[in-house]
Amino acid sequence: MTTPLDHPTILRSNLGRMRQLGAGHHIVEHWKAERLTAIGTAPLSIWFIVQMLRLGDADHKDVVQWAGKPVNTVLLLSLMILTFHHMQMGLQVITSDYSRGKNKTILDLIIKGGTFFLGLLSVISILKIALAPAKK
Amino acid sequence: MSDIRETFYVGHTSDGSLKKRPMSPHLQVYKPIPSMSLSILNRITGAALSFGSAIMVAWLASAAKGPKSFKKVQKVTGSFPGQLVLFGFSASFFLHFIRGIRHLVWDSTAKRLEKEEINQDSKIDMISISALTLGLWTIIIGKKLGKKKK
Repeated sequence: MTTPLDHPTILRSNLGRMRQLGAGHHIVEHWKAERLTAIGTAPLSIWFIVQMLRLGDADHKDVVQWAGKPVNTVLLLSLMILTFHHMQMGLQVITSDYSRGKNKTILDLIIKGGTFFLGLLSVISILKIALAPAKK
Repeated sequence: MSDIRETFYVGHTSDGSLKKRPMSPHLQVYKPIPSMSLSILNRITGAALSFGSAIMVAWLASAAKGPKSFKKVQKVTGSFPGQLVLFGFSASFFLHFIRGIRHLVWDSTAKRLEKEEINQDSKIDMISISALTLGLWTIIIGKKLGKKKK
């Protein structure tokens, strides 16, 4: 019996062969980023829920004061950025399962555009509240 | 033919004529079990949370715009339909949160993946999701009732 190792036909590692294969061409990175953003958003969203409970139906002044504290600003920014990154990847997994070809490309562009717009809007809003809050 | 997989869907009826066979899997023929339902719900809640986070952005953007628009958004979220949406948002969040952690545990330990274990853990997850959601809303309603008394 010959072992396959005696006559290697291709001198490439398994990792090298795997790279660039598959529909997304960067599946491992996508998979990893999905998990890493999940690890980030999990504690941040629990923090956000607790903060919302504490704020209750607070008026504008209290909310601006709360969001203006540097730690809160940074945590809010991290939460929104990670959430929208995670959302974009998660929705893309759904389109990969249920659509193909041109439809998938169009849907993915809509998802990318939508999450980018909402994410940017939230980042700008948080920065505005923290740095130049509206008074009236 | 738009899908090359359709080449494999050719079958015959009992009288010998050609027939297009259905695409597998047919979700409706399986008896729903906890792990399967939660897996489907994890995806549905993920999509639902996308719309929920749009509410968060509206809240933030209105706060950035000024007290007037902030009050408007607060009126919508404070109304009964608004509170119902927020209830759904929180329930979806807790499901996605608990099942997300379950996925992270599966991915990092490769344990608890036997059929019985998966169904056992799914039941535990269902209980913790309900407990977290109901717990959160008990606090919210309790706070509201406490304020009304004052």
